[in-house]
Amino acid sequence: LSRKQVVDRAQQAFLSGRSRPLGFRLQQLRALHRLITEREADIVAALKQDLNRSRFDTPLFELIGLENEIRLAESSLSEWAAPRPVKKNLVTASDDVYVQAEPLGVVLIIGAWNYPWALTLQPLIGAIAAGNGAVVKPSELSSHSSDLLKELLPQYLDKEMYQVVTGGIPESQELLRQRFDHIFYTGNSIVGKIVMEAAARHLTPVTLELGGKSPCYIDKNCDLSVACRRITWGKFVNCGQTCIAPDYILCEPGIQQRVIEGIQQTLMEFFTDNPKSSPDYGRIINRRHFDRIVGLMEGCTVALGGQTDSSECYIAPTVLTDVSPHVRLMQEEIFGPVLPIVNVSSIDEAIHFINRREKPLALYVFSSDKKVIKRMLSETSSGGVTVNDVIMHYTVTSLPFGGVGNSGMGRYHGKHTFDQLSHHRAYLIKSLAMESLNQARYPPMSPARLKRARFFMQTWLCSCRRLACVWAAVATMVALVMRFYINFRLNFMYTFS
Amino acid sequence: MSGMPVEQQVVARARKAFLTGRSKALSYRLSQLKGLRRLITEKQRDIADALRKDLHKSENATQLYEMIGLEGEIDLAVSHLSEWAAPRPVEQSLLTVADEVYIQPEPLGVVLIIGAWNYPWAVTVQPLIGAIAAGNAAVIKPSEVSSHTSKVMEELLPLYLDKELFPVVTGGVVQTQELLKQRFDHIFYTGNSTVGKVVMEAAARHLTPVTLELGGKSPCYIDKDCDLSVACRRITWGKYVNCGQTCIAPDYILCEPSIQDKVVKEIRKCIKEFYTDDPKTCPDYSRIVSLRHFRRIVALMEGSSVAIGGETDEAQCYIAPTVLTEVTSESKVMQEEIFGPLLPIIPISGTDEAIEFINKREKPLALYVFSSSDKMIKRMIADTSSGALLANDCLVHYTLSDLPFGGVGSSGMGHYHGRYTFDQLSHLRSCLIKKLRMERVNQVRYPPHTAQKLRWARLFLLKRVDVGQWRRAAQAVALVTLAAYVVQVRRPERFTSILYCTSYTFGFNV
Repeated sequence: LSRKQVVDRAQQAFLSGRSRPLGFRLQQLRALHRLITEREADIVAALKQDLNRSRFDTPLFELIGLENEIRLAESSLSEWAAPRPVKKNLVTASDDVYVQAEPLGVVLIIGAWNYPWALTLQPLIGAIAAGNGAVVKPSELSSHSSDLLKELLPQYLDKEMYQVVTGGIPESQELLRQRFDHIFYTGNSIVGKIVMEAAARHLTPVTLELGGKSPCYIDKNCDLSVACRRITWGKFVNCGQTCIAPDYILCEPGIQQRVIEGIQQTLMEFFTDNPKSSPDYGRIINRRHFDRIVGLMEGCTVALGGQTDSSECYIAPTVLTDVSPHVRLMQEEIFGPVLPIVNVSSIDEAIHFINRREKPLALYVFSSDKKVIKRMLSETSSGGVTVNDVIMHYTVTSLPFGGVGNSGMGRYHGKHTFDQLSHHRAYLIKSLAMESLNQARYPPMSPARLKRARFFMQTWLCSCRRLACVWAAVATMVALVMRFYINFRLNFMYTFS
Repeated sequence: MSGMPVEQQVVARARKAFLTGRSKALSYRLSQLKGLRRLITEKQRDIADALRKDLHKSENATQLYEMIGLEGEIDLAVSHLSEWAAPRPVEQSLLTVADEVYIQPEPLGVVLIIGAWNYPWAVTVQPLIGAIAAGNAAVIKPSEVSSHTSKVMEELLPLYLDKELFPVVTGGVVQTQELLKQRFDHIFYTGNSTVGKVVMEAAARHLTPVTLELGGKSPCYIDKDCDLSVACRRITWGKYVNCGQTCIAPDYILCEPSIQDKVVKEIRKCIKEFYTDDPKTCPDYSRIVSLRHFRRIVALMEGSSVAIGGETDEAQCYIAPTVLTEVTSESKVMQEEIFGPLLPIIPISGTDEAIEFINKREKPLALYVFSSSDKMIKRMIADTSSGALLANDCLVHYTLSDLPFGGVGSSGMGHYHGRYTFDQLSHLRSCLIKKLRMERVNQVRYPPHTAQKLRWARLFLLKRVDVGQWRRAAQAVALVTLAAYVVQVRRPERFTSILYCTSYTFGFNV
């Protein structure tokens, strides 16, 4: 099947209308859940080959999160898809006014290779929940996972509504020439621009989950051993190949040595003194990226690690010090197990350093001082923030996850995915009665009519829910007051009779 | 800075002004919004004069269709700003129950607002209100087609707003292209799909998010079972306001042939009532904005029958309120958005054909359905898509600040009005504030990984604990306990009887 035929098929399936009923969507979500639970062993095996992931890492970092999202979608779907009432003005007081989410059509989901299941299926969960069809294009770099996905998805989900297309750049380019109703891309900024440009030709809205250099500021006032432990975990998980990994550290020279010691101690604890032999330590995805990262290390002072083995695409957990802001290492996202420490003399310098660069996907601040935290947050910008930990804002489904500026546009997770892949259609259902109310707007216009129109348009009523609560509270209070009053009167009368 | 094109200088200056941080303070934003409010009230005369020259708009029409809406939006923003800009707490998971979890709205930076010419103040200033409220700087590019109004904007805005943060750039295609080369943090464009694509392509080069308020052909379906006189009155009003130059005007009518004559008759009656026998002399009837558009619209009439109107006067860019019949989907008038006072009526055999007709075309900005049957309206809702859907009236959804206003597919992306503009032009930043304590809980995630740790992690992450629900349950229990205590103290025997009844209900003996 050519790419165009794949998209046409998904389009036809969508136009049949079968993805609209909530029952269908729930059934598909449950099937996806079964895929993840029944085929966990296959998924783990594929990831071991792609990224040397341990059999505990895969559920921990990909599958549990997906299960969570599916369960949330299943339990909340009817709430998300329900009409949402809206505040009315006097003109529309007796009308039905609401917003309701509806499917967009066919969504293109382009996945990434670092968490191939999470980053490809999580948008798919939202696409299914929102009633769309989808064409899924997993990354060719994580080839075992993408082949497995191509095999498994049609076994569990509606074959035509949700299709998988594998392949490399030419296949992606051909896909991008087709018309979609939304494109969801996870990857880097360069390709992000290409995706958006292609989308522009069809006026297709996009969600771009990109990356950047996520700074990690360590204040001198904080529990360094806990801070270093958390940072070490976040940095070296998946061998540094995480879009929200702390890319580099900013700290004052006075604490640099303690930071290095803290990281060293933690590395020992996590991966033993020979990380190469630890089943929990990953590998770089391919030779090209391996060479890229090794190249970035050139010319920098190695404080920890630095060993590499190209035959295994192995790079030891590495910390670099005395890093100048001008080296190549500081110009691109590292996406590897190399952690530079850049010295700053104060929080001012740190803020200045961060703001001179593109807005990152995540910002990390370690401090016990509320004032420091407040300053950092209010004087910088980033997709998201976690204070005193790393990565964790990703796990809170009620927090929208996405970038800003160069790190992306749009957001998802939980209900936000559903909203992002829906059209929020506005509804105003009036009746043909009460035409006299409309007189004010018709020509011939006069100042008197204008005055009436102004009054009607600018008088606001609360939305029904709030009004109902107000009435309930008022009624309760009135009832209570009356009861006490009647009691009092009865007692009074009783005393005197 | 010399040698740089003007547009580049203006944007650089706006960015510099934004980076000073002065637009962040809520008090500053409020002062700018109030300045904008004063502009609208104090300079009514100048604004109305310019609109009369551009579009032959009467002063009353200016007030009704542009100013009242803007006043309402500014007042809404002023009264709700602190609420909109405050951190928004979110539902917590079991893992984060002791942490601060919220979404913080923040300014994006410098927003480019490209306005349109049909309601130049409404569609240029309304996004500006949201941009100011969200703490951004904004470069405003009004449409050159409404040239008098854009000149007035260029003169007046600097008198009331911060000159560097909110500069106005006038000019035509060349100036717009130069602006689009610059880097913005958001581009807000109102206009047509063709230029919309150009805008989005330019934005893609800088990864700039966009809001595109475009157009299309908004269908208007009239069911045969409905009060035709009221329906036609509302449609006539919606169609010929601003001489049909409204993005959400009902573009064409779909109805069964059996009611077509009555529809034409009713529309003729309403046109006469609104605009007299000679609309050309009526102060409430506008003109086409330019000769180019005049000629474009006149050419659209070719091949169709004129049932009402049809008179034109090129010297005045006047086109009479016109209704066309014998129109098919191949007619010239059905090939593009009319954006003028021509109302084609297309005969269809019933709801099914109407839905098919609508769905064969691009998703419109608005869909209008006139019917007394709830069932029919529900069908229309379920089987079509559009930016918005109105039953039994035209245009008025625009006036509800709480309804998101925007298109879908070819009719646009993104939405605004009221709080939606604020949210659209903000970055809603997710914040998770933890403490460096309770490190034990994190053990589960650290290597070396074991099956045991994974089991714990599963428990923590998968146990769906609705923290909010538990909190509410705890509050309810506290309230019940308090109530029980009060009752017991005041009426011991009542308490005993309640206890007896409750236990009996739950099936055990006290």
